[in-house]
Amino acid sequence: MLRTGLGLCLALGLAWCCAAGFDEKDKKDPVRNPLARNPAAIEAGGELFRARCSFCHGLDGKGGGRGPNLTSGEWGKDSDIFSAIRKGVPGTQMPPNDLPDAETWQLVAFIRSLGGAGDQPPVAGDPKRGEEIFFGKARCASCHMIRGRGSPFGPELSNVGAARSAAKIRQSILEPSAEILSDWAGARVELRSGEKFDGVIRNEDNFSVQLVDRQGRFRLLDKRKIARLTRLEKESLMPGDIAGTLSPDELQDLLAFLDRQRSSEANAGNEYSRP
Amino acid sequence: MHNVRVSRRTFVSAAAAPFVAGIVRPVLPSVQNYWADQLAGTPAENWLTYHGDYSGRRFSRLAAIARANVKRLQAAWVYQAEGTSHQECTPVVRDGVMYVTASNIVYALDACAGRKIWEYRAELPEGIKPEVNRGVALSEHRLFFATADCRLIALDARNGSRVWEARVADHRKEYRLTQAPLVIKDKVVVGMGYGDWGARGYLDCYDQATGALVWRFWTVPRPGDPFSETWPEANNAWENGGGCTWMTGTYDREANLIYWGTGNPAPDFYGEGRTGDNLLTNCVVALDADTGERRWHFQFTPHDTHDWDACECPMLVDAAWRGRPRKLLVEANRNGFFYVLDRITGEYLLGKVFATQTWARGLDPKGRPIVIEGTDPTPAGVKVCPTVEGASNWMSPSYSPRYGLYYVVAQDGCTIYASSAAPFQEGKNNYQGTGTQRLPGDPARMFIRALELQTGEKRWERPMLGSEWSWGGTLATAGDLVFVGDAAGNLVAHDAEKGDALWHFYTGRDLSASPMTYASSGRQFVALASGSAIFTFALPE
Repeated sequence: MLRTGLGLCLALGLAWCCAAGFDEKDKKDPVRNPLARNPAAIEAGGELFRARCSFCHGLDGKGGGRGPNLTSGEWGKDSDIFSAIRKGVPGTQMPPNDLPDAETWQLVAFIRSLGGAGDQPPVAGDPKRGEEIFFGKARCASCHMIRGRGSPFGPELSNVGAARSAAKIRQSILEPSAEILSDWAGARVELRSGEKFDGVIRNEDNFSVQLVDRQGRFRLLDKRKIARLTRLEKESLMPGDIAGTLSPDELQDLLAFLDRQRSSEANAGNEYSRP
Repeated sequence: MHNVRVSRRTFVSAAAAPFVAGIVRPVLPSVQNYWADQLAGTPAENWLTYHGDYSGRRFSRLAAIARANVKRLQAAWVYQAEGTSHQECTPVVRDGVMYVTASNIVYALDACAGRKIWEYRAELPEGIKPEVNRGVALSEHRLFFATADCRLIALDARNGSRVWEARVADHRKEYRLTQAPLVIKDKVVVGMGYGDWGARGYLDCYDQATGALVWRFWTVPRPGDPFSETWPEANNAWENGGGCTWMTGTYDREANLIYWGTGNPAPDFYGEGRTGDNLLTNCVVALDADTGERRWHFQFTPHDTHDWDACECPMLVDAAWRGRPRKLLVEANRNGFFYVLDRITGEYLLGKVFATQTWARGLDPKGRPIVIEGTDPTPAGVKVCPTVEGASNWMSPSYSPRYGLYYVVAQDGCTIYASSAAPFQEGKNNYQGTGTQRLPGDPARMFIRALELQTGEKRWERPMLGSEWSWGGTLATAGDLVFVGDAAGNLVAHDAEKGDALWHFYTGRDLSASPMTYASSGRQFVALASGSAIFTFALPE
């Protein structure tokens, strides 16, 4: 099976890709995609993607099993994506391609448009005020962490601005149960000892389950100790009334703050960093 | 002829060594036909082919590890291979030596201690990536394996020195080899892959002594050949028609017939340019082992547009069928149906759904699917079950003759299939005619299922939590156990009769290989490839 590829290269970060795939010619390549944010290029790239990439990466770029999810936003310079497409990714099933430069850049533009907000203008609002709301009034940090601040209970959000569009972030706040990431499914657990708690399932097989409870503690359990485990596949553990506690301006500021959360190491030196 | 000295030594270890009495239900091979008997016989201390023997049942007579003691099974040794992080091989074991492949490297290991004896590295030309590799084939002294750049290489099994190599296909035309070959008499059979990239499928047979091509069987006909009427006259779709032969087949020694699965037609999802049934894609073909001539074929999925290769193991079972002994071919196909055929005539005997499917109302009296309209891929995409990976795939099934149960790793799930015209461009890597998408929030679910041979009914099943991409296969033993590499990377021992999980060991990676068992120095071992490693397990000494 083809499991690894472009996305893996991207996910692993740039240092490895650069070391593995660049030569002198690449150094002359522009870091920026000359077709970035060009709607026609994105559309053309989408057609190319369907024809050439979707077999492994899925029609929506979220991974087809053979190839990884390309919508995480965890990549760096455009030239790295370009190089991965052109040369393939050594040690993976990602093959080299001999597409012309223009078509390769179209693909880069399309991949940039997937999932994250990389090709969208920054969300309006006051990010500084949004930060105060995140760590204060909205109590987001009681479950989420950004660059080491907050709780490890829910998804870590240091790169959420790259990984998710502003619309998706807004939906996650207003309707947290609308889409529950499979890696963050909640559960209600009742142990044979009688103890009950809620947790997020970080891993599970037929014999054991690894959770994080609301206090951020690991709960590493042999299933023989569990009396009942109820998976909350349709119900997020995130409270659904956050919007009711914030004014429209506060919500916008919070969005502006979250939209600017991109892993600084992965984005150093390119146009997508928005500190 | 056969090496009598080696034969006698092995014969003694198989029949008379003290440990064997307790772990083997003995079958005494004749010395004269030693090697042929060994390959055709039910595996015990040796595991001589990818499937263990010619039948593909993956059933071992070893019984030292059994229901009563399997809880005591523990890790014996682990070998970390270079060259891959994604092992798909099934080890082959003879006389205490294990042969494994890791991409284009072959290792000979001490099967008892896990220590390397020799290795052979096949260098690949620039630009050719190492591929997965599923293992080796053994003859008396030779070992055969296939490389990513499409060579079949013969080594001396005693020291790993190269004897010859044959060019099976041109890797520059997007062919690849990943399978374990199959030794039959004085020949070795090997198939090829990458039909999704526009290859035209065939199966090759080579002379063991010289590497000369003995016969080639094309799975997609040229114009004018038999079955060419199942391809359009108006174009040359047949030239890149798919139908690859990428998994190891089986062999009936008495009938001298090879059974081999063929892959999907190409392009995968766009069928308008290849109207017709597209024979002999998605078939099991029965071929004369000496000549490669077709005796019969059975097509599981005519005009496939969902990438449902028929490369699942064509398992051979001898059993009473409706009151009389019959030679059967059994297959849980990627299209979601479990089939029983008469393997001498190709007659369709039984078809039964074994995993979620939404594309066929059922099978007609000849076994042809009654396709539901609107299940072909469209430009916008259409939801169809099974998934593009199929209801099952290369993960090996197994069979317990004691319980008449067929064990298969099954996937219940659906995919959105999309299509568009796909002109073939040589060397352009892919020729799928667009692609697929999983259903958000509705991942496929993995199971091990025990199906009754006689009815296809499910006797028991166990869900396997974990990744829908973890595809370990199964192994059945005379210890009334069925081992499976589960969806989370565990090797699990189930009660073969009732399905209870009795033991497990976490290997640390998703699985893409099937377990096997063997005995060495008086101990039964169970082995499974996972990640870059070969894990082995045994009872405490």
